[in-house]
Amino acid sequence: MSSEITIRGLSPLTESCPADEAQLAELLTLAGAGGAACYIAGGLTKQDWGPAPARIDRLVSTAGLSGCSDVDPDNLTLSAAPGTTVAEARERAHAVDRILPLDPGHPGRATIGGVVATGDQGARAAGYGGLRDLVLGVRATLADGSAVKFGGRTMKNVTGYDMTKLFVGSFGILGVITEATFRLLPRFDSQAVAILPLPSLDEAKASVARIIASYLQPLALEVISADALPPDFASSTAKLPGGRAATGAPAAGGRPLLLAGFSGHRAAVDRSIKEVTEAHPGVAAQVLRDDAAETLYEHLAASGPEAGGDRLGLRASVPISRALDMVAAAQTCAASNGLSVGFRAGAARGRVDLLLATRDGSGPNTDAWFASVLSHMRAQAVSMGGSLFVTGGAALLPGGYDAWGDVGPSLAIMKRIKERFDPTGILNPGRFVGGI
Amino acid sequence: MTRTLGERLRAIVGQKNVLDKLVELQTYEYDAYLERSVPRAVVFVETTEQVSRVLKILADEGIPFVPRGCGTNLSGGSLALDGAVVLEMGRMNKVLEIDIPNQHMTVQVGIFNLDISTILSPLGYYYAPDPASQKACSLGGNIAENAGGPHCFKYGVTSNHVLGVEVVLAGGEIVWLGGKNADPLGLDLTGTFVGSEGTLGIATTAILRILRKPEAVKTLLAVCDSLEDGGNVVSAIVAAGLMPATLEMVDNRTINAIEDSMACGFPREAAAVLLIELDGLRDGMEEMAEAITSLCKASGVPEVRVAKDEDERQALWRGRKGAFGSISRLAPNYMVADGTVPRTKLPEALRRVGEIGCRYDIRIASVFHAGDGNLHPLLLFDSRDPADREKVMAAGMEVLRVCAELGGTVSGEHGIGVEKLAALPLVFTDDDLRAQGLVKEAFDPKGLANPGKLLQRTGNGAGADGSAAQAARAEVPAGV
Repeated sequence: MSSEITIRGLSPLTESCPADEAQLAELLTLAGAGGAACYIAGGLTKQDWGPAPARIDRLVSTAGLSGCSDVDPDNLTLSAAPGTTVAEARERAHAVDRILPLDPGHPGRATIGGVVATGDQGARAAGYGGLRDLVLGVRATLADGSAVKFGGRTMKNVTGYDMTKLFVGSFGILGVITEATFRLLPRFDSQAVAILPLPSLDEAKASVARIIASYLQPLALEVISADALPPDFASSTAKLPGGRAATGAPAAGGRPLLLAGFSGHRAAVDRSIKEVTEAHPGVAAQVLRDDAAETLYEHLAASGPEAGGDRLGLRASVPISRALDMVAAAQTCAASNGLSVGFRAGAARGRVDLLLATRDGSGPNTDAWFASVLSHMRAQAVSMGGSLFVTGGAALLPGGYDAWGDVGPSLAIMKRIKERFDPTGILNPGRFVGGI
Repeated sequence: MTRTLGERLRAIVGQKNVLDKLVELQTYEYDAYLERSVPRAVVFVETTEQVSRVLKILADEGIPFVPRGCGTNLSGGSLALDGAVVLEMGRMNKVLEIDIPNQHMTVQVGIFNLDISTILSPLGYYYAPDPASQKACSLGGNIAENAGGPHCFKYGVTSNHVLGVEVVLAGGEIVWLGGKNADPLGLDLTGTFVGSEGTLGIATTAILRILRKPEAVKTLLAVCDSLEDGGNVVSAIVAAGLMPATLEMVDNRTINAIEDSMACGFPREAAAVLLIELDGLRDGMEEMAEAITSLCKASGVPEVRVAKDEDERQALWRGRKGAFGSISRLAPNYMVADGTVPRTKLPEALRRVGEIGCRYDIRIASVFHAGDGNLHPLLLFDSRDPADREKVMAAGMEVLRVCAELGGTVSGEHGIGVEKLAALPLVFTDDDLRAQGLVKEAFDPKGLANPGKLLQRTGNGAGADGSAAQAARAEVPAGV
């Protein structure tokens, strides 16, 4: 059927929704024969990440490949098809008293295939780890239509190359993931999040450094700008069940909020929350427990900062102690360019999401100017030993901008891998690093 | 080897740092597997630059190479096949950086695994992967094999703790994969490289994630009347939502071998013991230990001992980690079948392994990472008896077949090497293997990096047959 969907301004000629692996294989084989560029689509929640594809002839939706083929609470594994939403898969784990440790943005729409392909992991990455640590096995259909499987359902597996790692975060350039198997966690005895409005970023930096150096093991350690959240955030969380109403004023715009979440034995959680809150005697902390804490994480994921329009979205990955330096650099850059900045920094992972927006359309506001902001912020990330890519707002940037940044000499290996897996270049061409 | 090659290599590393006399090379013709193969030469390298220059020369001459750490590999991964040159990495053992605020360290790969945590200990940190051989194995080998260890159950394997790795590719190009951040750009080549058994290039330096030492540790020893009871306890602990750092089991034969050699306090009469360690904050730990004790009792395991102090705890771990060494007193040789099954299949796997032992009339001692479903049945034999040796090979393959049938895999942490090439079709289709071959081609198009390992050779029908030919010329004491 012809497609009505537009991806980054490109309209695919056709849209397909294979119902099984055989149909997917046939479709890819045909596309290969005709040199038709395929765009692999899940929930389209990350279509603005990285550059637009070089071209799209055929949109291949994974929506027809859906459901959890295996949920094994005793072995702590769950296998799901790519079109399954993260919310649905998490629900399946929840039903057998387990946790599927995925915490991407927009879990109601984000799919298993999309999350594995992009490696998106949010606030709870501090405790859960990254996607690469959680995927035990993948099945995939390659560009030539062959169905392959790697890894399995065991925690340990050194049988052959660790191809699972190769596919996690590969943005669909090597094949279409048709199933992923994840490690599950037992349900927590207890969990809680402390929310502390801190007077300054410096104070937030000192606080997270103290937590990281301590015996505490946070599930989430986020420093976020109040304006990266809905305006009624403080009052709405105060009303959540178990939430303790904030005695002070809600965090003012620009003041960072520290979210420190813990999980495990109730006594350990209580001690952790106590240590964090007592380190800030003058700060009115809110503590959300159990279901209320869960609701907060859901809220964070569902209300992820949406770039686009007049807002440039950036995601940096830096060594952990530099996460808030990255935020400070963004604030400086924003101040000198008349921009506002929203941020979410995963301080135990070094993940920093930034949203730079013009104030009331003021400022030079040209694409060259946004390009210079991008290159400045990227240079900051690189100088800290990290990297930075664009997650939205491509319309603000000039054509041919570098959405990913320089990968370095290992790019040559990545290109050789791509050439061998997809010799006719039909899988998400142009979407990945280095124009791959 | 030609005199020219020797001269060229000596020009890089110095006169004394190349071995090429047969009597010298024989030291390097084996690892902890059963086969032997004499290398063309052994080169002691001290810098990444030297590794690069050596590999460039070898590429010019079309000569394959094998990196070698401490030679503890159990699957023949360190064997120099096809007249390969061995690069001895042991001198590259320096710590280059310890970065506490960023929780990583940069080290050269020749460092002993245990030395990493020993160095970090005064700083309150440690490196999580802890293979039982950690006193004798090096990081480079751990990276090549994606080594595990008891703490994997909670903390993951080597690949979960390597952030970046400096690699010299065949041909001599030096390239960094990954880095100091958790989510670098592009394909996860670090994750792909870890566990590649030296077939994609030589790692020279690695950036490791380091962890804060836990505030408290509690070690319990469940004394089981049967292996099955032990398996049930493991399932009950997981089902109850508890997440110990380790769940390790050893059987009666192993217990007695350990007690004979080092008297660690394992009860000799027990059918099996399960070593359970909790770590984390001290708050709640006592209650969790009590919960585990109750679960043990409910699963028919009446006796649970608690290590009273650090000395007792260390003694128990000395026993567990010395298990393989202790087994050496039971027979001249052992072969470890390193299969993995989904945890719940462990009792069935153990029963069927027992049956295989009976059928082949082979004594088996079992050590296993019960939390991970990773079995290590040690098949005892005497390699001087060709019939015994053949029998053990056949029985080992049957054990792997059982693991594959139960939904597991043929290697949990010891690698494919040459040992398990023939077992790959038990878990992979031709297409699966072909796709893996693409990765090898992309890194090492000329096939010079550790040839004959991890994947069957393609084209000329060698491979498994080739390794059998290697076996035919070897008569080796294993497990030394």
